[in-house]
Amino acid sequence: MAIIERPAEAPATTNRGSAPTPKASTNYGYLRRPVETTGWRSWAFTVDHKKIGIMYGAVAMFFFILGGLEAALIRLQLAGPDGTILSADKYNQMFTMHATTMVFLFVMPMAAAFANYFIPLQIGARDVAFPRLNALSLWVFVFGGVFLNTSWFLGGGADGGWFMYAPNSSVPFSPTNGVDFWGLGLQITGIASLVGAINLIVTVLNMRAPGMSMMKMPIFTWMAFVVQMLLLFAIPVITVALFLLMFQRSFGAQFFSVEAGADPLLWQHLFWIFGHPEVYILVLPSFGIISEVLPVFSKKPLFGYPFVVFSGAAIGFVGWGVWAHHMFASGLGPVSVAVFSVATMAIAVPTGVKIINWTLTLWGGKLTFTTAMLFAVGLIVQFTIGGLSGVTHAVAPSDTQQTDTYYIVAHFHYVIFGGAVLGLFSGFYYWWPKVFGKLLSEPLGKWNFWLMIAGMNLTFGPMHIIGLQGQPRRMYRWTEFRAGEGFFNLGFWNLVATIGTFILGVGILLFLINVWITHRPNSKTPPAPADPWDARSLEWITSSPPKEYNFARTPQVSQLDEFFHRKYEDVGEGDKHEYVQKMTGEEVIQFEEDNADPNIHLPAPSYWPMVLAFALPVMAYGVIYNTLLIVAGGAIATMAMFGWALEPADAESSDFDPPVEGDETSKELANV
Amino acid sequence: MTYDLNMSHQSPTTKMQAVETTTTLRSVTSSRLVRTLVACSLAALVAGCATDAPQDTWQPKGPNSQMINDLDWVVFGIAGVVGVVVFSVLAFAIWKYRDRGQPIPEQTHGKPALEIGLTILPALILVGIAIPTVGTIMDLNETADTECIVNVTGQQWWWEIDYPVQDGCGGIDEPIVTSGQMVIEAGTKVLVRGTSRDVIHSWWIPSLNGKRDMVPGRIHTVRLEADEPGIFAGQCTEFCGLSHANMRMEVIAMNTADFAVWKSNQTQDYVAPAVGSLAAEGESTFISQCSRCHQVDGLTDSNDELIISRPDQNVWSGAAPNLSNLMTRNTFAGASWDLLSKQCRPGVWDADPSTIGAAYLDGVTETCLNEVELREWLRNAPAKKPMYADPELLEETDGLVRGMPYLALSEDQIDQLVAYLLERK
Amino acid sequence: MFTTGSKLLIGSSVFAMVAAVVYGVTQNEALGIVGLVSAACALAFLAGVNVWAVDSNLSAVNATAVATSEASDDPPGASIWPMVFAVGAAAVLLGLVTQQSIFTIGIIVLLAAGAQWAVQAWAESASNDSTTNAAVRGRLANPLEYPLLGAVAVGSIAYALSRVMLWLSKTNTIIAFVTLATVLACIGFIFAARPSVKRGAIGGVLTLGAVAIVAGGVAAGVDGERDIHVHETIAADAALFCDSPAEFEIDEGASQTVSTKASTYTISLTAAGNLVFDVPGPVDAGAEAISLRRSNPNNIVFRNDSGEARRLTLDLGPAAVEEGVAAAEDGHSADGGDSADEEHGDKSDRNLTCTSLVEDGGAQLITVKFDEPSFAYADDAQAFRFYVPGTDAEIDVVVP
Repeated sequence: MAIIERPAEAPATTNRGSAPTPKASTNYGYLRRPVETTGWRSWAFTVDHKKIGIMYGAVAMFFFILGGLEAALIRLQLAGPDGTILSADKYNQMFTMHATTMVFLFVMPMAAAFANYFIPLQIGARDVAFPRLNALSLWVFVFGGVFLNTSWFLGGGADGGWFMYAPNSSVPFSPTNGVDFWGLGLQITGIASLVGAINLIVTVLNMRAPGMSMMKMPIFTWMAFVVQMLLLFAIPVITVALFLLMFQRSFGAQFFSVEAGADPLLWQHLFWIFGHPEVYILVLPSFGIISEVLPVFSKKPLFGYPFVVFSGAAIGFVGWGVWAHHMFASGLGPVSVAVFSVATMAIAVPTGVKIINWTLTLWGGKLTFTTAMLFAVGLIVQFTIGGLSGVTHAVAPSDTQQTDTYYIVAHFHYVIFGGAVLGLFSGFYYWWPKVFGKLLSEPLGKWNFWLMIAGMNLTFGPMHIIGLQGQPRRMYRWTEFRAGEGFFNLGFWNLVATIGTFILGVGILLFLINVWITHRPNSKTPPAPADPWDARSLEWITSSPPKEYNFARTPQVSQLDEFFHRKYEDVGEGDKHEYVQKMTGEEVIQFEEDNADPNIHLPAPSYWPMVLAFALPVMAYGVIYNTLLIVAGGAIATMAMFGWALEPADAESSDFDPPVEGDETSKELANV
Repeated sequence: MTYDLNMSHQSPTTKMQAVETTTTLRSVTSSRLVRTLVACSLAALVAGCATDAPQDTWQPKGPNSQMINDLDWVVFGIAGVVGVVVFSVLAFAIWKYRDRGQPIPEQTHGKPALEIGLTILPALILVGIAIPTVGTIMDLNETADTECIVNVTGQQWWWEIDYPVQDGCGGIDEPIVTSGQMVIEAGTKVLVRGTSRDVIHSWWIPSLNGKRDMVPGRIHTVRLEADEPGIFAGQCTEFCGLSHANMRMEVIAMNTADFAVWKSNQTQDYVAPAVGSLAAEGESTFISQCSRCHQVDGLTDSNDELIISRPDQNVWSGAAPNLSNLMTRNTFAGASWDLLSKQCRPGVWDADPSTIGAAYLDGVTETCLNEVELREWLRNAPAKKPMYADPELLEETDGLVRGMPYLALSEDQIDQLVAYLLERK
Repeated sequence: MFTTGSKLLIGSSVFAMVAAVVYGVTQNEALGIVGLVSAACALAFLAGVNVWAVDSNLSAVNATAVATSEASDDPPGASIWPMVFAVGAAAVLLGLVTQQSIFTIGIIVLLAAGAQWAVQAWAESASNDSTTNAAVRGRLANPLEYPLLGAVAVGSIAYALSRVMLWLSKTNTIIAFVTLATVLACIGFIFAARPSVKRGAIGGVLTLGAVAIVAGGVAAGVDGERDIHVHETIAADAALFCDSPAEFEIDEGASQTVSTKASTYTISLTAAGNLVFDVPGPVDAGAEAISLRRSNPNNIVFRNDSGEARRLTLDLGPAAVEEGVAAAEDGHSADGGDSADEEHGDKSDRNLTCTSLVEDGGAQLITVKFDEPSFAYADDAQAFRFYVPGTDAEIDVVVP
């Protein structure tokens, strides 16, 4: 659908729309395209993967703050015994929505933001394969996230835990509409993930720059690609589960009613067959990010690139065979438990390979500790702790003591916060100059890093002790009778964890302050240099921020770490290596721009993705409140699909205001 | 292992053109951090823990939890060693290879032999962990050798515990039904056979065994055995709705003689309160206010007919705790509150293993009753323990409550009920 | 902004709305209001589509171009829609006096033809080039036409086939379906093996097949369905079925497989004719009765190893002792057996529930829920017991 490039020998003019004669006009049956290049319209209706990536990131950041506030309330409630800040009902909603928000509305879309922005840049493409679908996935996610959170104002959020075990999710046990909002909201955001996954898979497979074989692809793109494959297969499973839940709750089905002969374990299997790959969906993008950052600041390629790639792919495969380790206490029977226990241990091997390779990337390097590098090293340390505690509950008998206690909470926060979130922050600091053309403050960044590290270890570290000493999770209050004696009793550690949360919060606040200081009006921060980190991969062979068309000319790739090898030359002899700089980054970029492609064609913006996305929450409200709304939403969706189908891939010249005259093919450029 | 990956040859320093925006951090800080972390976590495990936490998973009090704990130590030990090795190597690399103006290193993409070696090594370690793991899983799921069967049934938000008729448990001739506290004989291999009436609950007595989910429609088993007499605390660990935090249970292990006494206590005939006493008024209040849901075995109405409670007509999950012997237990309302007053509680809970059985069998006397909380409970149960979320939402459950509703009892009625309940032992 | 077409549609919508109000005030009858309001909504929707998706009508965008265009000179092409429209109108009138279905079809034809007519007229005013006009029409109409026609085609074939299947006898249905599937596979195989075969030939064969099926469907539909026998269920007369070892209609083809194999109670009828029960973990040693929980859906698997077809019956105590002592809740209500009570007087006073007849070696699941403890029936020796009709095998149930 997307015509990203047109051959240079294409005729300079076409017979379309060049003059307002009715004879040649074909612009019947579709809207005038939104072609504004400034103002809110240029963002709302854009199909540019970079703008979409930035919007993904901004919205995800908003949800990160929201989820963080929910976490702070949870920790405040648990700071002392018999907490009274939240009622039991509100507390249950809070932890459900905290997890849901962080997983589905922060980490996944933030990873999607990076993938959207950097996959085309890293593979030398001008946009993704289906730009309008890209816009659709963004807006579906945004509307889905907003829909999910409107439950707070319409009777309360979901209260069954993010795992929403049946039959506790059925109407008698959760009579408010919270669970309905949860199920339908995730269904909607699932559509966003699925659409995005298909788009990015096609992009990676078909749109790599000439010379870039799969094994010369930057590692972040590789990991993001594995994630999209995981999404492609995982989302349909949760879709099925959520449909069952919807029919159970809204249309009187009996999928989880024991009196009618159902087995509640069905839900658990469905949820975790999705839920476990989901864990890798959360961390693999961050693994990709730090696999970019570590080599740059070590001045050394990623150690064992093929091993890192294949271990990522192996995690992607084996991740499908370990779901039942979330169910060791569910009563599966000893044989199933033993099999899944061993399979779970097996998945530790490729994960270990990654840690070993990162360490060996540092080994023998020339390390500079920028904030991005600190976050990357922080990830290795924190994730290793999470990984090791993970091995302790791969051992099923131990897991029966640990599961559903705070020990598990500690484990997965070390994995998801220490793994995924630290990696994302590493990516923020590393790519900020690329995306926004300005460097974030390094001193502030280091404060940000150390406060976050201190905060997360104070918050989640004590949870190991709290859990092993017997405090279950998801309890709206704990009692002194079960907290033990001594100074270091569970009350002490609960208080420490709460204090840690606020240190962590201050750390994250510093990031926002850093952004504000860098970008506020009259900021003294100068524009960033084109190649501030002496980087290695393709996305840096263009200006910062990149032009709308990404590359002045499509880069030719001959090596992994193409940019590095364009800048440096090995003048050593035999086994001796000696690298001299033959060009600066600026010179490489200048050379590319001097040899720019004569014709660049970009897809035009469109209203329809947003309209279509808007129809989904309308239908979802319909399922909850009134069937007529489903019809209304369906009508909007039909209309949007109609409009979308009618719309040609690029805008008429007459759509521009004023209409573009003359050279047809460069008209988008004229308006950039 | 001294595998030197550092390219030690010295070449003339290349002048770097890259813009200097990076600052070098003293890597010492990082390595100190790592060391501190390791030291802290070790210290935390040894000294930083609560003493005598009732649900401590690392204080096994029976062979099943001991088996898990033995495995734990191996796994935690291996994980600890691996962690120390990884962090040491990392800290060394960070310190050794920080930017001191050395030339750009060789652009190597790795050493396959080393890679394969380092892949096999963790795999071997994990095989080492896997073998004892599988053995322990099988041992913990053995059921054929158990000597006593106790049924547990989870319900929002309390556990019903019943002892079916059997030769085991020293012989049980008529079924015993109780709730919240399971009494067993120390040194006996008990098999808990559990299910649920509504949502999934999880039975967890950390000092005796790991947890097992109790799923409606299925019967799951878990072994319990206590080495010595004692009270072992537990908690429902599968999120089960509103009052999940208030769903607790205890296992009380006692010696053979005490256990026999307990069994005979539980099956004693109903003793009606003395005519004209406050408790007798309590009996009629109980019949009018409580007996629709709560069974008291042997209680008869004015026509001398047995009163059979019909909780299924009032409660969504269809059952309510049997109160025939309430005061032989020392907690109530899902084992969340003590029936014993603060003064009397330690006398039972902290008693020596040799005397704990006798102390428990004394039950709750008038002087030891935690009257304040029992009265609060009778006054307004849902205020004390969140139960059905909202009375307006009862239409979703066909008008049936989940948990105990607000009964609007007068203070006189509460006085009568307390007096009546005090005699239920 | 507002093209002629959209003005017409908006006007019609408003008119329909006004008409609905007038009708509502004067007639006070629901169906007409619903119809008129629906029409108003549909017209408003079409107007919306027209305004937002089709508003680049040249007349609205560029009046000069319209004036100077040769479109007005171009004579309109042939059109089938006036005729179809007329047929629809006739069907509506015919339907009014005869059958509602004809009326409905007429309305649908009327709407479809009207829409097509409007689209064609609109497209023909686009330019003076008939190819362009056809393309314009196609771009507007095809995205709606193709899915709708596809749905109609698939729907009618499926419906026709279902009529044929219901017309044939049970056995012949299977034969017919196998034959049809084989023929289809063969045709597919031939086409696949001979890629050179003409498109027309394929189309012809497929059309022929579709026509044959639809024609068969019409014929079968007119002739009517075969006699379909309604099976009894246990709920219909528990006392009659459950207390007898004989085979009833309900037992024919009853499922002999259970998916729940672990984590349940099992009751087996042995070759020696005894009932033995098995539970997760050791059997409650020394117990002569099976102990089941109150107020809880108990899943029990009945396994028959006796060599003969048998059923497991659960006696739940005397029936109708007091209001609401119907206990079995596995979907089999114990009520409703009044007529049978008269015929089988000796057993009709018991609440029974049972499995259907289980073949030798088979198993079946029964879910029972006891609302009362067994001591509520302390004076009734038979209350709460499993037994196998036709044998002496029985086992008591204790519900604490």
